[in-house]
Amino acid sequence: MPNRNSRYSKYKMTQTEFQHTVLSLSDKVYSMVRRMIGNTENAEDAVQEIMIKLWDRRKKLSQHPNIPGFVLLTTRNYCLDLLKKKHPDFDSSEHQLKLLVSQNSQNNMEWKELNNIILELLKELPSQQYEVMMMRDIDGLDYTEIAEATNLKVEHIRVLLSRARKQVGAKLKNIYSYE
Amino acid sequence: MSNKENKNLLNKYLEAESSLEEEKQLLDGQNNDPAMDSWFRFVNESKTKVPAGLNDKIIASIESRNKSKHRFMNWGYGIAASIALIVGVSFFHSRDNDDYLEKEALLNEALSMFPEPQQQDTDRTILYEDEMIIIYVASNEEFENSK
Repeated sequence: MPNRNSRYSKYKMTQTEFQHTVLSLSDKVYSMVRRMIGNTENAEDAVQEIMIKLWDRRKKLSQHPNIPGFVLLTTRNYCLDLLKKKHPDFDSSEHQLKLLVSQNSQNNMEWKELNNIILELLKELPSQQYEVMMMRDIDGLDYTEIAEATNLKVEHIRVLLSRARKQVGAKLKNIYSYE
Repeated sequence: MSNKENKNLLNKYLEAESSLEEEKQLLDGQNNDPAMDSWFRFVNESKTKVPAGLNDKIIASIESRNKSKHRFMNWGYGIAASIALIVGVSFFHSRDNDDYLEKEALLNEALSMFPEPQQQDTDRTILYEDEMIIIYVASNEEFENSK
């Protein structure tokens, strides 16, 4: 296996390796895109564009010390650019809530109501806490991946995530104690 | 998982110290905590998987991208080869010219080695062949003198 850490390596990823190291992340990439831009059909196109962009940059990519992190960073930046293009006044600190939950028609009224409450609770979170929480709980990223994508330190991410989980948990507990 | 273990795991989760594996355990199980269980249900239902076939679509477009690149490269090679041919031909052409000029200079030099015929009776015959000129001079004496 060629040395990926060498800056001067002329090594270029093969298609098989690309499938193995990058395309295998498409669940996480799709989850992030779907969550950030919402529309399912656009999300598929976006994932395809991101992957091709990464394929074209595979030489640079193969030299990166944290390939999954770089893939997710590219994904996040792509989505932010897309949102800014669509809404010129878009502020990336305002978080987007485009989760699928409430679309499931099998859910009963009570659960739908609770979903809306949870979505409201998430809106109340500071944007960094919200984003870190979504990356961990919804997208299923590990801490080094979140660190690479957000440019935050792992310890800081844990603090943000812990605060978010505690806040959501405490508020839900309040709601249940009223019932 | 015992109640106590479960409580510990929930605490780890809230402190953001649980691993992804442990979090999956919490998401998949009942935790005797209605507030957290509804959160985990929300998380589970919000998770998405990449639509079936999207990866194959991406692989196909990468492959067609490679092919079109190769086609372009073949065109590139063709153009490069044509340019090389033109340059080569004109180079050889100019070399032929140089050869001709060089030979002409050599010929003039060779001719200048012989004295101009000063006497009418000097008999001189010049034969030109492909790569050789032969000069017959009848008056040997004069030739010797001029040396």
